[in-house]
Amino acid sequence: MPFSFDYVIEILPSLLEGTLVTIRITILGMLFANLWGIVVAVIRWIGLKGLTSFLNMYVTLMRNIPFVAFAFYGYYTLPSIGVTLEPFGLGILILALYYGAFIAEIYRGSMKSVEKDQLEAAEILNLSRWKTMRVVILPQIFIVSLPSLINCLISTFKDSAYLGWITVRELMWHAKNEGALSFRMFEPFFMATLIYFVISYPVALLGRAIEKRYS
Amino acid sequence: MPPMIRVVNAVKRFGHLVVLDHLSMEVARSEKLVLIGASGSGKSTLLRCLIGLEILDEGSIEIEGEILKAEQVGSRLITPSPAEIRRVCSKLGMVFQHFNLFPHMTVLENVMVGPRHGKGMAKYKAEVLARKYIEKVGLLDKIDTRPPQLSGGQRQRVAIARALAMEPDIMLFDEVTSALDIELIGEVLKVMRELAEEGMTMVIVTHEMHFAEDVADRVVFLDKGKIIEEAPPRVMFRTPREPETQRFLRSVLER
Repeated sequence: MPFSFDYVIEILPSLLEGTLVTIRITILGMLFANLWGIVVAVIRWIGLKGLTSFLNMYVTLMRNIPFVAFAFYGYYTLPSIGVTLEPFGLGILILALYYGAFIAEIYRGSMKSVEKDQLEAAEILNLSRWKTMRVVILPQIFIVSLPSLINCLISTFKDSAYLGWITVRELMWHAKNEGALSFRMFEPFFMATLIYFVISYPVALLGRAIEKRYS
Repeated sequence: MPPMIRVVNAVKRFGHLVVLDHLSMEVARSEKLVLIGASGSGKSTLLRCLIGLEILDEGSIEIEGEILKAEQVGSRLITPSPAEIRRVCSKLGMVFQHFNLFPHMTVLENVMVGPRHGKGMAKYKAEVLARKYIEKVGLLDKIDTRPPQLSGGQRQRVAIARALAMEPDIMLFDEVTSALDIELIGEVLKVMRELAEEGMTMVIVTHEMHFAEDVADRVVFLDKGKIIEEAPPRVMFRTPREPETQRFLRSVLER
């Protein structure tokens, strides 16, 4: 079956619609993953009894299961504990919970990179642990974390493709849908792959440039 | 009147290494005490124990009558709580060899952070206080600059202002000129001289022997965590008694 440009043009609007959903869910997922990741990292750094060990378990769990497993698990169990979101919202929540653990690890590494000297200075200036975190550490870690956060953004973007399996109408969902309607699988999946690459690659280049600049 | 600082039988170990070995000393109000000794003799560790960054394994530290000590209960060492340490040690300020400034804050913010976030002072009050001490170290024109844009001497003066803004009764200086280029040492020593003249109680670890001779009331020579000899500066530098002191001073002065 030869590659049909006419067919590509025919399915393009549908694929672009999916692309928009993919981008939106990636950005929102990453945003919430960031907020959640900071909260987790701060709590683990300050060390709240009980909560810290629970969060350590959570981070270990997420780091050792594939995203798609967690996505299915979340899709089938979250509604039973009262989380009733439409697929798009659920997708964001699942991305945030899963990638939040990775982002918490990124921030943990950056927090460790703040020199011990500064922490001692904060200590003798009578800053509490929370104040040390807020005033000394947090303002310094974002730039340091940026290259790793961009890597994480790319992973989120790529893994968002699994969300089609849990009925989020993102790019892969549209590609599969178009293929199923016309029985032509090559063009939709080829185009979807191309779109993923075309968006992801410049972001990866940007990440590398930032890394070079700040290292 | 009790001494400002009293150290009794202080022992500090790092693993098997004994850094402070049953050391006792006192510092009187307004006294300028200079600690000298080779690297590894325990000078810095002593300062760090005084301000509570390290906790003694044995013995006690008394700051203006308040005692900090670790207690041995059975096989367990019970150390004072962080809150207790901070309360007692808040009467001391410290300046480090490597400045330890916060690189993301301006000079003003660096000096304000202690009063504002450490003492909970209102922002405008903290700023007034900070400006006063930044002026004292002669850096009012650099108030909005961040440390990476300052020279080493300027950074160290900011660090001194930051410590002073906590209004301590005692200032500790840990080799504050050792990381500086020679031409920048003078401006830092000048600020320290002024402080000394104002009657601040100071404990100074330094290799600047001329400065020590000018400023110190007493010089203490440490070796392997013990006080080997102590004397007024003139006596110590002209006619050291102990062979270890003689050897050390010879090596330093020949530099």
